[in-house]
Amino acid sequence: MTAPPRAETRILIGAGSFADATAALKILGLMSAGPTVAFGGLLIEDRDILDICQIPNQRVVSASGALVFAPSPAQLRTVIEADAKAFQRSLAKVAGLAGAAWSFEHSIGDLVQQSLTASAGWDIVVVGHRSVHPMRGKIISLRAAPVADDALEAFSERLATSLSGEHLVFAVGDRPENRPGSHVFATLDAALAALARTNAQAVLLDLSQGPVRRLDQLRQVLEVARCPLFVFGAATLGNQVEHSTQIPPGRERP
Amino acid sequence: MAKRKSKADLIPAGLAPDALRVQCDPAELGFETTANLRASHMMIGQERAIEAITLSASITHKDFNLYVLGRMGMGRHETVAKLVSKQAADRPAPSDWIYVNNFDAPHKPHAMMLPAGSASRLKSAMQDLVDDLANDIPALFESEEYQTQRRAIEEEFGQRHEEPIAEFAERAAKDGVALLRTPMGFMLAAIVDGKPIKPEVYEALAPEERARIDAKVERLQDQLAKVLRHGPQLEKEYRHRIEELHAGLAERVVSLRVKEVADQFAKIAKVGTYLELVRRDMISNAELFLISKEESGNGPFPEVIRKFHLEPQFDRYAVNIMVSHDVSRDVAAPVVSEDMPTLHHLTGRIEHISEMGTLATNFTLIKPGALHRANGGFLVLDAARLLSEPYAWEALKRSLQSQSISITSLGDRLGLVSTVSLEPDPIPLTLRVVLIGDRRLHMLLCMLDPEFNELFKLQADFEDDLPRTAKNTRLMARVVAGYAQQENLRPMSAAAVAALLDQAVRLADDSKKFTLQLGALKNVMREADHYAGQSGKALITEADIAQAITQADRRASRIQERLQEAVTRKTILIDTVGSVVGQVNGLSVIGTGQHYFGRPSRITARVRMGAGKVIDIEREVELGGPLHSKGVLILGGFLASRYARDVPMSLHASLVFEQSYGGVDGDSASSAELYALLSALSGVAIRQGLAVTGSVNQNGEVQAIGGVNEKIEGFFDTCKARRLTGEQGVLIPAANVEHLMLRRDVVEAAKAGKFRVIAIKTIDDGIEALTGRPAGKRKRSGAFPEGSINALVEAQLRTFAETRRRFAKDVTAPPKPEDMT
Repeated sequence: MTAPPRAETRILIGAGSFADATAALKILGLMSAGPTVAFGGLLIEDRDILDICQIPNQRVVSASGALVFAPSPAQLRTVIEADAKAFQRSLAKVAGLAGAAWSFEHSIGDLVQQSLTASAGWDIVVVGHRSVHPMRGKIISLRAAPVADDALEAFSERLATSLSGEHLVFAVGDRPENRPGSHVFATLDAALAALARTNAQAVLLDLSQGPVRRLDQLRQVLEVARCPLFVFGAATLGNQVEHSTQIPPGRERP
Repeated sequence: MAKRKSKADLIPAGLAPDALRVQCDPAELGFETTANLRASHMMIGQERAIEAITLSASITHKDFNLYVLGRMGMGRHETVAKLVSKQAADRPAPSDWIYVNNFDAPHKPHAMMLPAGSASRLKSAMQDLVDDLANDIPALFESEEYQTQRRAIEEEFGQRHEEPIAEFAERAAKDGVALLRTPMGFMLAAIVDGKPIKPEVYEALAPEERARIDAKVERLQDQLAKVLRHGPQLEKEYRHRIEELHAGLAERVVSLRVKEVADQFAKIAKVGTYLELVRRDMISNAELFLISKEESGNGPFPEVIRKFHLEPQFDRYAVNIMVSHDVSRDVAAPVVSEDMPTLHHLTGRIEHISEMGTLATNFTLIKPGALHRANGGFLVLDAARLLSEPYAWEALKRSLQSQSISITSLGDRLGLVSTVSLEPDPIPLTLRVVLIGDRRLHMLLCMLDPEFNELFKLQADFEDDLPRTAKNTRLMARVVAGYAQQENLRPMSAAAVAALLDQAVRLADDSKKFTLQLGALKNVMREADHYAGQSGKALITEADIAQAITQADRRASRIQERLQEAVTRKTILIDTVGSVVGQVNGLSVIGTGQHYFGRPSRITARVRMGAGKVIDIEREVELGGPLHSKGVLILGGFLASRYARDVPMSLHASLVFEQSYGGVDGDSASSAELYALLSALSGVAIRQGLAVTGSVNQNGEVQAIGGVNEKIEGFFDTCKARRLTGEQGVLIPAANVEHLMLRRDVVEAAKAGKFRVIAIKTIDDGIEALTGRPAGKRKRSGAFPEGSINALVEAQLRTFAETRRRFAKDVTAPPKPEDMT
């Protein structure tokens, strides 16, 4: 990924489609009054999707519950290209409103892995997930107990204020937490089970602090949270994964 | 012989100088200056018109509208204003009228009648209501109470959304099926070796295994579709709950505030009904107040005193006042005078504003017209102006007929503009309209508009003049004093008043009357006051009045002087001495705006044998009007009935106004034309020192004409420019003697025997004066006295008849034998 421009907070949004990116962009748009930021957009094309679309009689369930046949590879290609353009436009708009610099790229591979691979130089990586309903959910920070008053907590509070959402802390560990809105879970699985049944608007976690430290855990969190993940310390895990893409540096856009 | 010549040349004595100008005697007025006189501000001589105006102003039945007719400067506007205002003062101030929003159909605003003085209070109360709620409602929605309730609803519905999806995800995972997100939606795929199945792996599976996977995936797809299809229903429920929450919260504060307003207008049921509609609308549109708060600027004033009601989204709660009365000041019915009675100024208009390049409007852009302002009272309009404005007359009639004011845009009516417009409720109209105009317009309206007589049942016809009695003279003097006082002029001496009254007589064109065109007298007084001021006098004197009159005449007399100069230089040929056969000086009046003057015209007649035809050359070339032609035809009748009745009329005569290029009308020259004809027939010359005016009938009687003073003065000026010989004068009809009010210099010349005005009754009198020969009366024998004018005329006509007879005989006789060779 292109080296991000210098700014107080640099946020990279990785998403497999424009629908997945939209929820994250909306949240960032509402936070535009914050400190100067730089935005990056990364549309990650998942090969598995293309493969599965070729299985005979494969269907797609639309957001409204309609069943339609899976698209052909050519149709899927067209849709992905349109998504890339829409993602880029929306990113530019959000950045424009915040007066921030932005960059956008398109890659192929696994969503989580590619997002982390490209995380070098970015403070926060947002892994996109589409919203299936309009109700405002909670802001959940998934932390290892004891929870530190660090940048993630500050960001969570800011997010909760901007989105008028309740901030909950899901702490994993055996030490009690006294801060308001905190729930302590003995294991990560227990926390994820609770998260699966929580209406979340955004989930924030720090890969360097835990309890989520591995790629498969991060995928699991995304699946159960069904909302954008704000990943701090992504470079910690990003350094461990293979760099499958090398995105050439681009010039800074207005 | 010498004695006969002397007798023949004798010119009849003219009228006595006293008869030429019947002046007002200052000594008889009974005061020294108007300062000592009890001034009168009443309208005199207009009792008939005043009664009509009073009736129209006081009668309550519909359609007794009034047309005030008369000439300009008669004081019509002043009289109407005075009388109508007096009646209006006895009536209560009418109701206020407002337009408010129709929340069900905004394009049809509701009109509402309120007790006088209430409209402004309601408008102010509604503005305060909006301002209060624009502060209260956002505060309410920012409160922790609201946020908590809203979060609870969101939590409930969020969970109702999440639970089925979470359950489905667990079920899918348990069944070994992956839930994948694609750009188009969700896709399910069996998991093989921890990853979604690949197509080649799927193809390699046994058919039974594929069928099992397919069935599993299909079942889960149906379940997912069911879960997702439930989403919109949940969202709808969610929105409904949020709306209920908003309405519940807003209802409390809105109802409280609206009740405060309703309590102020508890006695007006309509306001209560309206406020209930406002309350409901405000509750269902509470977000308007939130938007307003969000859009708050960073102005210099604190937010709490911001005038939210000025923002366009709150126009729906505005009160648009059509007419409002300040009960502390307006205690009478309105008397409105509209100087520019266009359609929109009368009925009001619906304005538009440009929004994003299109024209938009709402009920706050309805503007009242004169009908609204005058409703319940009187509307005074100038008829000519009203009728010259497109569709204004139609709109006024429609309003009077329907007794309501409907606002129709001219653009809509003509179909010129196609844009959003309004259909406001018509406002009931109770109004008395007073039209002020001239007689011609009144006559045309009566003839051409059948609705006019229905709607304007009354007419106030202003008299043009006032009989010149001793009582009226004193009354006029008091009115003059009243004007001096009213206009803040210097007092006038009795002589000045007398001179002014002489001018009033002169303007009346009748020595027995005063004009009632008092505006013209006011102008003289104001100008005289100016001259008196220039001379440093404390009083307006007779000299000032004379100067004002003279200067006014002089200013308007450029054309008169040019014509006079043309006569003096013989560009226009007029003889004022000597005698000529078949030629006479006629007199005509020329008007240049407000100024009228007389001028002589040479009229000539030529005769020969013919077929009994008198040709009016003016008519032949279409320079003569119908009245002039009528006069000439009467001449033919006079000749035919008086002379040589036993022979065919065998005259061919032509008559012409020499050097007349602008057209002639009126029959006042018909006697002059007859004199020229008689002179031509008799061969007796006419004295050119005399000029003639007067019309004639078939019996030879000379009849009265108009402008007698101007005509005499016109010929006097011509003679004076060439030298007054003492043998000059003007023949006027005896019936016009009462109209004489000549200039002082003419009277002075008459006194000195240098000029005379001769009153005549018949053509015989006139021809004797003009020729110095007796006209001659038919004797028992049937013949006129020998040598008389009539005898000569008859002889000439017989000669023509005989000549004609001989001529006809020669033409019809068989040719002699020698002629055939």
